[in-house]
Amino acid sequence: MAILEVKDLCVDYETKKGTARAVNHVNFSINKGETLGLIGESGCGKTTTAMSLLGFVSPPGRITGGSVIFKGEDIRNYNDEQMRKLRGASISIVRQEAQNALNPVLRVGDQIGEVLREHGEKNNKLIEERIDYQLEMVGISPKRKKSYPFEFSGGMRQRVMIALAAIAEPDLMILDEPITGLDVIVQRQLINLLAELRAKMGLTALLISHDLSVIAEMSDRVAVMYGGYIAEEADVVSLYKNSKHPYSSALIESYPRIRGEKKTLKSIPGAPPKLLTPPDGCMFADRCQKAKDICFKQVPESVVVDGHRLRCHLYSGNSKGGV
Amino acid sequence: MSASNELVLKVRNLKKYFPLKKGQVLKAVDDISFDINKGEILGFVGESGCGKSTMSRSILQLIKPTGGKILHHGDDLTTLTAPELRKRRREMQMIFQDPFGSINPRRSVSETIRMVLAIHKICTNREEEDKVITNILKEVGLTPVETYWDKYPAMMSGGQLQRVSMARVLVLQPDFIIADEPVSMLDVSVRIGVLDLLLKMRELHDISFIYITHDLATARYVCDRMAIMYMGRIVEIGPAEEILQNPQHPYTKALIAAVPEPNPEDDDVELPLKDSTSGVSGTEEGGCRFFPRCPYGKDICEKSVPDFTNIAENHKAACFLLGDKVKTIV
Repeated sequence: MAILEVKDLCVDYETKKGTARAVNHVNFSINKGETLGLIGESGCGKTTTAMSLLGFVSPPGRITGGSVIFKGEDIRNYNDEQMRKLRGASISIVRQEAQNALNPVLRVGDQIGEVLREHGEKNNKLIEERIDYQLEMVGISPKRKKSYPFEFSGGMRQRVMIALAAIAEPDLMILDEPITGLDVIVQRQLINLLAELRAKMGLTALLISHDLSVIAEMSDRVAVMYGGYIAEEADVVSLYKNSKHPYSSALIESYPRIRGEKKTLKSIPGAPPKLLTPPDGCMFADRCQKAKDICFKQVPESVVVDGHRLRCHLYSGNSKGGV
Repeated sequence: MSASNELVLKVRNLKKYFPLKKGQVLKAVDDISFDINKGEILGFVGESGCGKSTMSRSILQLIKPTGGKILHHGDDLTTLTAPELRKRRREMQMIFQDPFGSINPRRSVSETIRMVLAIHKICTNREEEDKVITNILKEVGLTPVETYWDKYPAMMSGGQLQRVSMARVLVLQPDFIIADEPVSMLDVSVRIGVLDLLLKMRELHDISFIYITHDLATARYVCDRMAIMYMGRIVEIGPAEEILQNPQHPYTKALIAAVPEPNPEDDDVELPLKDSTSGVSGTEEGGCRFFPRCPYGKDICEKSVPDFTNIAENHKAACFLLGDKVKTIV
């Protein structure tokens, strides 16, 4: 069953120079227990998409179309109070560099307690027990609950943020670059921790990252975003083995790896499109090695080929199979 | 492609200690020695706080090292006078991690480079300067030159700015460059472009590089040799491929195991580490610094500091459990 269905979502930013469409007719859904990886370069609309799920798009940004169906209800129709109840309890988020989001003058345990109280728990004894439980769950000794955030390393702070996001056992957790900016070994520990939580809690997650390897390790399905729309979406194994969209393929080919034979890598020439002056045709046409005439003239429609949903003129007209 | 045998930089027993409270010292860089040949790219890989950046600053004399020698073409940089050092700086340059922070936002691309030419008195007149700037912009791939000439940093992407950083350094025709995490802030799709530029500069001008990074994958892509650093010390150094295919030091093994692969079918990875938290800071007395986290640690590791053991040609690691005992740990 799909917990979340995003249909035709559009987010525009009004600027003095015109309107920039940061999220452009985005469609995806996430089933219970599934992790959808959302990958793309900076400025492609990943985080804006996540923010619209939480109703955090604020002026000059505006959701201008589409719907966000969460457990059968369109949360775009929610009022502020309903949204407030949804956040944290039903949809929570671990943000990039969330380790800096902890309050520096409050003890770590107290910050977890604060959230528990906010979610309606009044019994102090239960709250203390729950703080211990949450810390243990993310691999931190409950003895450390009296510490301040500055006494924790970056990785430990991020663990606390994961504990906070998981506290109300939300139906959906948004992980926005959860391990970016941390050391390699700490990253690995967090990947393992999140995998463990997934197994234990049956976590449903939207994982946002620019890092192909993190997405590969943690996702079931992957959506590749480019210039505000989803260029390709497919099962994770199929996407890495048989990517169809030239952008996905180029991304995979540009990624350096440490195992296997050393290969020459190809960077993608050019730069992502300017959203204030988007191209007439495909967003990627300028940088695409395979671009045809039509790619510069017409925006590609979404088609399904071998279980990959993609927007690319190279595949228009031979849509078959379903996602 | 391969580096020649002409030595550009020879570092011996480099130390940088910072004083702490109660007479303690933090050994940020502790007894580091290495050589770099002309046209060679040597990578320094390690986690944050391992002393990579402190080391590069000490080499360039941006901070004064506590001890050791830095021989640049045979002259010890630590003994040069300030004016001598200033002249020498032209030959040793640095590229920084954050292109948005390391380029003056109030100067256009051409002005940024012109500034460097003026400081080092490279050209005699403006026409000459224009010519040099045009050539260097072409060389780093900022073409057509006219489009970039008057652009300000705010109008450019991180990848383009990192090319400006390269241009600014290259006009001085240095013989070695320290690149401190030059691509870690860039998007994956443009990283390779900047790294390829680095390789091209080595090819064209025989420049030696110290490539500082936390990322083994990009290090593999550009480096001839790499040194793995842990808490102020080199724990393993050797040819890049050799280190990755045949790592010897337990820390190198853990680091390699930790790197995620863009392959969804990969198995889960258990880290070969005893303790999940990183070790205490570099203040403790004696002993191998990796001991608290090492799953193979023995009594001796706690008491004395291991010397380098040769593993193969140019490949050595500092661990008591190597050499003839190597089989016991693998």
